Amino acid sequence: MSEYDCEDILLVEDNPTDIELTMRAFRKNNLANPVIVAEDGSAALDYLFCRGDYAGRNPACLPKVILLDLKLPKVDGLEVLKVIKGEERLRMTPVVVLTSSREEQDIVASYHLGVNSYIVKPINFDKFVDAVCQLGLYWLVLNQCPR
Amino acid sequence: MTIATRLKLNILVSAAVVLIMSLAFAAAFVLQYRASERVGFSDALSSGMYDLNLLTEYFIKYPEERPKQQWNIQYESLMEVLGDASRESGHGFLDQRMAQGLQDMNVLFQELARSYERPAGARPDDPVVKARQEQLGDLIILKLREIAGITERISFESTRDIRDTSRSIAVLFTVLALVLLLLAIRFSLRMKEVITEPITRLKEGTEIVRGGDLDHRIPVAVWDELGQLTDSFNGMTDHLKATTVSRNELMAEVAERKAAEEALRRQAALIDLSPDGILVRKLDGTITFWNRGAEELYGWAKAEAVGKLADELLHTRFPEDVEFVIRQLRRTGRWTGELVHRTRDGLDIIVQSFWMAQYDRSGDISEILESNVDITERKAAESEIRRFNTELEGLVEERTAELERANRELESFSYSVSHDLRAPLRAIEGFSRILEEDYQGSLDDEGRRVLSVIVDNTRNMSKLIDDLLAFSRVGRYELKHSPLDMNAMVRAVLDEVVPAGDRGRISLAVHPLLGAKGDPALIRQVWINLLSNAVKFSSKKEHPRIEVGSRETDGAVLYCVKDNGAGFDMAYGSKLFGVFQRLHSVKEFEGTGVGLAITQRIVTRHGGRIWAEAEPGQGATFFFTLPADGAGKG
Repeated sequence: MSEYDCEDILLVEDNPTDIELTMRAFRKNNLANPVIVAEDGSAALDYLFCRGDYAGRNPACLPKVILLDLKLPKVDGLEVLKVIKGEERLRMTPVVVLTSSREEQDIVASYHLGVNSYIVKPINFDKFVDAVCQLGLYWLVLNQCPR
Repeated sequence: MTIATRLKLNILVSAAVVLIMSLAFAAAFVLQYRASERVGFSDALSSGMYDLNLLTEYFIKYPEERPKQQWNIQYESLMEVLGDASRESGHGFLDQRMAQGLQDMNVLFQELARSYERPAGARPDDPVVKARQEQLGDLIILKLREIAGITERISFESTRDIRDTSRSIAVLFTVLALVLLLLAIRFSLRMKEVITEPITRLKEGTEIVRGGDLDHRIPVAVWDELGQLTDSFNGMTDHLKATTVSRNELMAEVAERKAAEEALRRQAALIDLSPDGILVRKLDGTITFWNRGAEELYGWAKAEAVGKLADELLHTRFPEDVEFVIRQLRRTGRWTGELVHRTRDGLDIIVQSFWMAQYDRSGDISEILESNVDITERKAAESEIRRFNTELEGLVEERTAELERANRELESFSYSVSHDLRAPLRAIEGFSRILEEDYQGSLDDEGRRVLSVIVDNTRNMSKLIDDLLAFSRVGRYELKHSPLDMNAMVRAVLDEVVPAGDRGRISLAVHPLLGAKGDPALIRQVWINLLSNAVKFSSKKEHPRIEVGSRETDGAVLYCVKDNGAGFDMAYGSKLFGVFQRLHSVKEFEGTGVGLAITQRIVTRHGGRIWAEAEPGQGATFFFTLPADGAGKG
């Protein structure tokens, strides 16, 4: 159980361009925290529950923040959110929805399930970078989670 | 005192008078009789005295036995007559004197007679005797004369008595006749007063009453038979008056009833004119009236139908129990419903039937007026319409389902748009930036220009997508109605949409605005769109001017936003509110052409209307209506 096994950020995102842009934004903001990317909801849950591809992972090692897209293959984002917030062990982990959808219904549903933050990905790259920067700064540096 | 009593009294008085007169008559008769008896008696005395006188003279001449006996007999007879007369009374004093005289004479005569019966020894020519005898003879004659005088006196008195009696009787009768006459006059006068005058008054009264004055009453003076008769007559007049009044009322009622009957006949004739089948039935169903409409409707003539049982004749089929129909009639006096009747031709027809109850004096239903309208065709048409409606409903449901499906598709479309179209845009934008940042040195000016065009268009597209999504959201948004304070809202929106640098340049004229009812967020969006448009399209004027006002119109409130900006050609007015429709180039005025489409959608969803009037270069005025908030001017 090395320190390396513990990623600070779980990025659940299926769009490779968005993954790349997000990683680039992290880099541009000098956020060097380790990031694990799950490309669908199912993979995200496998990671969190240490099963499937992540069966050998240390269950005690949880990310500091989960960035969750809503529109995902297999298990969608809201479903993932629901499972996380329904699980005693995972409930404390902050979940930030990072999505293209401005739809009211998505926002309401997310907050209803207990999301910690809801951020619409700006199309403008500068704004996108800015948003990711603030997000990382807040959740990884400023925010204090119960240990 | 009644007349009968009066008459009785009169009869009694008359009887008393007659009785008195009879008694007086009898008394007169008795007196007369007595007087005549005394006259007869005095005559008898006179003749007896005359005979005794003759016998005395005869005896003096011939003093023999036989004249002496005759004298004695005559004397006895006279004494007897005198005794009888004395017993009858009358002239007692004279009778006594006469009887005394006679007795004295008898004594004298007996002495004389004895003087002649001389004893044998005496001489017949003795002078003493002879002188005595002569003396006695004279004395007797004297006595006779005295007695004759008394007799004369008696006879005279008797005659006088008769005369006196006759006079008394005459006087008595005269007095009685006078009394009777007075009584008769008094009686007739009283009768006139008691009978004739009341009768005259009664007669006059009856004449007046006969003349028609039923209010005339005859005064009752005395409560006798005539008084009673008068009273009875007055009573009769009262009664007659009452009878006359009631008779007049009766006549009026009869006339009224006749008029009513006439009206009824006319109405019946009118009912005959009605095209509806009208019949009157008793409670047991017997038909008593059948109009021409019924004849035409059912084919049965009046004569055939009247007297029959309606429901048997028409094979009535009720929609509910007949008992229920009758119960409702009793309760409310009417019933209406649809009946199935069979005509004479055996055809079943559906009628709309109105029943109205007629009550008798005891409040029971006496007859029922039944009016039937043939609705067979209408029912057929109705069922046709119902069928159409059902079909239509099915169609509507189908269409609704289609629409709902389309709506769902639209929703998923807009969801996809918001997700899926944004992501590639973000990629284009992001990677253009990466290119710009990482490969700055490899690009010449043209390359950098091309890259900036890519980035600009990405932004435009992003804006278009956002607006489109906003537009579709308005359609799905659930309205929350509340009263709106338009003055505050417009002030806030103007603060937001008028650039700080232009505040001094733009002249704003916001009139006090009426309140309305609507969704605050959406109506705010309307103001944002219209006012920002006004600011935008007037921005190129030297003195931009924006005016906001409102007024009431037909239960709604009309708002207007007027600017003196670019305006537009009314020929393209119809395109104004279409999605992505623009009347100006992006170069002139930026925008996506979704704002007015959203505005129209919001106003329409509130039940309002929006339109615009404009002239190119002169400015535009936008009008929209909203339902009033019901609280009057706000």
